Order: sequence, then C-alpha cells, then structure tokens
Amino acid sequence: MGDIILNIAKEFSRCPGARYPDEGNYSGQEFREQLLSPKLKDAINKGVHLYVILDGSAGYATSFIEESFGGLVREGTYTLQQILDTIVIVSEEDPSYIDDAKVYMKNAWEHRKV
Amino acid sequence: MIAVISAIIGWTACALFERFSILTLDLSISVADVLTLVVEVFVALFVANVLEKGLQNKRVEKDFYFKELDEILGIFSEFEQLCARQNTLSLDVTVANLSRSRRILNRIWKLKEEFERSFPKKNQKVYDSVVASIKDVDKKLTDAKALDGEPNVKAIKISKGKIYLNDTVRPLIEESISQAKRDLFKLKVLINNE
Repeated sequence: MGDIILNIAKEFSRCPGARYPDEGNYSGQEFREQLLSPKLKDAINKGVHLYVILDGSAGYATSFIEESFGGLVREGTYTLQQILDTIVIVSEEDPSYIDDAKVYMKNAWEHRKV
Repeated sequence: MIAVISAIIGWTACALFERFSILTLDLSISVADVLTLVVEVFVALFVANVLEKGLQNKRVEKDFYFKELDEILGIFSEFEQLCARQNTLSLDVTVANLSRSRRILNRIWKLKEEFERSFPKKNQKVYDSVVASIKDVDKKLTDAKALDGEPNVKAIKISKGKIYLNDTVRPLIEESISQAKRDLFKLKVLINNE
C-alpha cells in the first residue's frame, strides 16, 4: 500500500496564514482539522507514512507550524511516537521548518503529560 | 601595436645611445642575465594568469555571498522601518519576507557546504545564531502567543490577515531585528575574512 502525500501549497494554500481562523484565511488550525489530522489517521490505519511537503509555498508563520503540528499532539488522539513514526516532513527550501515542527510536537507532548 | 612602437622606441634609443653617448654598450650576453629575464617573465605570467585569476574568482564568489546577505539585511531593515512607522503589517507579506530570508540563508550555507567544507565546520555556531535570531523575529511578528508569560508585555494581535503592533511589544521586536542584523553582519565579516 502506498504512502500518503500531503502537499500544502497544492492542496491547501500557497500562502498559509497564522494560527486560528479569526487571525486570517488558511490558518494552521484549519489545515490541521481539514487535512493533516484526517490524513494522519488514514496513514496510521493503513500502516503507511504521511509525507507532508512544505516546499512551494510563500512561507509559513511560526504560529501556523506550531498550531498544525503541535496541535496534532494536543488533539490527544495519538502519542508523540505514533505521530513521529508516521509523519515525514519534507522541506528542502528551508530544512529548519522540520526541526521547528518536531520541537513544537515534543513541547506539546511534554505539556500533555503534565 | 604597443609592442611594435615599444620595439621601435627601444631600437632608436639604443642606436642614439651608441652613436652619441660617451659610454659604451656591452654587447655580450650573460647567462645569468638571460636566466633572470626568463624567471621575471615566468613570475609575471604566473601572477597575471594564476594568482590574479584566483583572487578574482574568490572576489566574485564573495560578492555573490554578500549580495545574498545584503538581500536579507535589506529585508530586516525594511522590517525595522515598518515597525517604527506603522501599527499594522500585512501577515502574508511579513511571512513571505521572513521565509525568503530563511531560504536565502539556507542556500548560502548549502553552497558553502558543497564548495568549501571547512567554512561551515568552523563557523557553524555563527550560522546557528543567525538562524535563531531570524526565528526569534519570526516568532515575535507572526505568533500572537509567542510572548505568553512575559510580564508587562502585550503581544501582537493578528486579525483578518493583519498584524497589530503595540507600544509594549514594539521595543522587543526592534531588539530582535537588531540582533538578527548584528548576527548577519558577523557572518558577512567571516565570509570576507576567509
């Protein structure tokens, strides 16, 4: 069974917004609820990877990345390890987004444990 | 043309010297003189074709990196001016400019890693601090929750695609921008000095 690919620029927006819908269009919360979370669920159920491609957009606000990936952990459906084992973030234009997303997920996990 | 004129002037000067001067020319050729001449010509050619060319190539390379870094510095100078003059910024434009600066920096470092491995190894700390300071500006300008927990600071507000600044957060953002510019300048100096 093939891995799942989620290309943010093509499937969501070339100009992603901030954190919440009231902050502007194409927020991180909207992205997570509409695309990231359902596709993660699908990938975990099928036992495949979910490739999230960040390249090709105009850029990402810090809050977008935090709400998308950190929020995934805060949802509480999956453990950090399940998410890290499933999601592969692709960002060749700016690899530091990958580290940022992982840090946000880990921080969200630490808060969840408390 | 210049060589021909030089030869004519040289020959004329020697002929006049021989005819009218009370001194005499020694027409015998010394081996040491010939060897000296050959070495001088070789050194001149070597300097012109190898050393000068190498220095010029290095200059062209540095100029490329400086141009890229200047683009990032330009972005941050513009942020500085906007934050000082305006109370609102466009979220899309801010995010795009910050991302552009991060991508340019990544591009510079990848090139350095590809063509000059010793430079990234020696200067990784400086690069990391540039990345960290750009991320700090990014956070303060695009995350309304970035300053949660900071006493006496009201963070930015983001609404309908606009970033709203206030007088308590503005100095923090300005300081972050200054730090980013200082770190970028340090990187520029390192590239210049290698």
